[in-house]
Amino acid sequence: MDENKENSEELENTDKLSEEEKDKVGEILESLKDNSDKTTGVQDWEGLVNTTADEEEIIDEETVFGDVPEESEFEDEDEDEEIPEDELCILCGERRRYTEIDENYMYCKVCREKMRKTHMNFWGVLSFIAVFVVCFIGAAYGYVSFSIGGPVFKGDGYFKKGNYTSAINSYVKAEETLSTVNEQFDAEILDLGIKTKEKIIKSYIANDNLGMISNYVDSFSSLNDLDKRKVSDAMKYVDLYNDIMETDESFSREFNDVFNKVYSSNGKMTVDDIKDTIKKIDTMKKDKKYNSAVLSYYEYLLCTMVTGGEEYQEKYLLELKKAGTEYSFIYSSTLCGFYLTQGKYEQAEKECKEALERNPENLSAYQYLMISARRQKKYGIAIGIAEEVTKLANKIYTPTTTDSEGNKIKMSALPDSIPMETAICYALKNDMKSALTAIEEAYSINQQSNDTLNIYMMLHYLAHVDKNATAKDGEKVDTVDGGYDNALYNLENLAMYYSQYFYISDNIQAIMDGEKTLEDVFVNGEVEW
Amino acid sequence: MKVLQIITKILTFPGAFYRGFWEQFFCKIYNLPVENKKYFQMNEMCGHVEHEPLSKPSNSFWFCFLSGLMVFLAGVLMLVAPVINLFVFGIQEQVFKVLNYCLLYLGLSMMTNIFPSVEDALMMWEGYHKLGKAAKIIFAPGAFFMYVGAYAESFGITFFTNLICAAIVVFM
Repeated sequence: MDENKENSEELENTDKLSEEEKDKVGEILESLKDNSDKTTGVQDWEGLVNTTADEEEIIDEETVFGDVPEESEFEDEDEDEEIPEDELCILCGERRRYTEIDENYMYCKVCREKMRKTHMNFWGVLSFIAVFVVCFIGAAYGYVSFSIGGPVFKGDGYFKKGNYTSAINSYVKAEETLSTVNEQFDAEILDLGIKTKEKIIKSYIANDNLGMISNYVDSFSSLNDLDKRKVSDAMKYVDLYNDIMETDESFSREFNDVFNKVYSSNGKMTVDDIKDTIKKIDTMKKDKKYNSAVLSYYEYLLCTMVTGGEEYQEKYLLELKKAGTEYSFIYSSTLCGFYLTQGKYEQAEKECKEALERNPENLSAYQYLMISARRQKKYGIAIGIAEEVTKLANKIYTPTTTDSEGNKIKMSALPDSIPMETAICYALKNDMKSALTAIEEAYSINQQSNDTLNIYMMLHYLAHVDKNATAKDGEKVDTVDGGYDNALYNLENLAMYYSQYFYISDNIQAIMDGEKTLEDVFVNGEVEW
Repeated sequence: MKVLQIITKILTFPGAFYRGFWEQFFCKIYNLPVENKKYFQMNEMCGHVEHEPLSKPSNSFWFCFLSGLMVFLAGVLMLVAPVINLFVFGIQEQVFKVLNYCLLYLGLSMMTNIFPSVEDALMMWEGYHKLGKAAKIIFAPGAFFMYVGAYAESFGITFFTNLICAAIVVFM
């Protein structure tokens, strides 16, 4: 209460103005009323306020702008000096520009310090967060894409070098990785794409294997025109494949009965019996709806099943060859086999060399060369070719796989047929030891091949089984390593389930029974091996 | 020139914002006063941050280089998947095509904004000439690339080159 009294007394004292002050206030009020010179009035009023107000009432810049350096630091030396307008800071408009650092500098020291502490732009920070998230997604997606892209790039490299078998193996590896990724995500998150599929198709074509493109044909059926142009090379083969399939269907509809009749006649029919059919097929060939090359192949097939058809076989096969190298998947091995049967070894070898020119990694072509040499009794040359092929196979890219125990295994590109062929040649040279070593290699590569099992069984029988001795139950026994018994057991077991593919060859049985010699079968006999 | 640059920046706004962010970030690192932190201004500073020049020549180089590098790296990370999937594989699955197109756009918007502003490039170039002989040799490719790139960007050339890249990835 006392404090209040004292305060009111103080207010009364301060309210009492001197005469001079009263005159001044009167002048100001008049000027305000007049309203003609507002600015002067306000300035004067401010001046009045400044003379009466406490210094504490002046707003401190520090409370507004935060941690700003002390005013005195940047104040002009002479505070009273009026700053020309063109020297004022363009930001605050109060202080002199900080021209010491640059004569054209637009800001004062205080504003400069404030600019140093400018907060980050909100949109900038937001974009940083968004880009960080997108980068993370992009990197993860890129990594997965690259894991599939790696083998694809590798395949492309082989393709450019003309190593088509390696290229195919590489692309197959990419497909395996793709299915693993899709399995992991339980969805089809990635696709090989039409461009990769085009490369796969081209590799198969170069590898004389148009038939293998069937898995990829569907991907091309629903493409738009732009995409079709992108993969025009593949489209050519896809169209060809569809064309072949349509012709095949039409042929089956039209000639299935005739074909079955000729097949079941077991060579009792003659060329004259199928002349009408051949004529009909020839007429069909003139229709552009059908693929004439494929029809030539069917004519060849019909001729192989009748007596006296040999002279026509070559004609139709050559027609097929003339149609283009894209048909090499049909004619290449067929022509080789035909010439070998006919004893035209030079022509057979020419065909093989042409196939090797198209794809130097075509191992089947090497096998035909070996057969040709073997049938000419040039066993040394055949074995030499096998050695060359083994070296080549080691250079062919094969993807690593993992076995049941999780160990990484590098698969060999060498097919079992090459060491099997070597084994036959050694056997013909009477070098049974080397023959057994070679067939053991073939057996280690593929234990489920009818040919290899037959030769394995035969060679072990010839080398290890005492023809005169019999076991208690009357069966022959391989007393050395049990190779014959094992092979026989495997073959019989497989034949039980897959009788179409697994059987004991009559010729092999004849050799084991002593009815035929090795030369009878492998040099002079039909081209079965 | 200004109009082209502004259009480019608007069309590639994700990259422009990201570039602006890194420029401002490096302003903080070098304790530089930022005169205007608005990234989208309708002038030649569009997509950049207006700041005081750096005093040390090497810092001027690193300022331009590092902010560009960060944008470039983001662009690379975004572009790996679409380039593989669209250009190398030629994927057909619609959902993934859209995802890849989005990544391609974002990646190329980053790549369009890897260069500094002409003002920064001039400062950097000026600073480069003040460097020692050995430093000049080391910094030469980067400095020249950024200097030329900054002008290319101001004429909208980077936008067109990236547009061509996009066309190659999508249509080839």
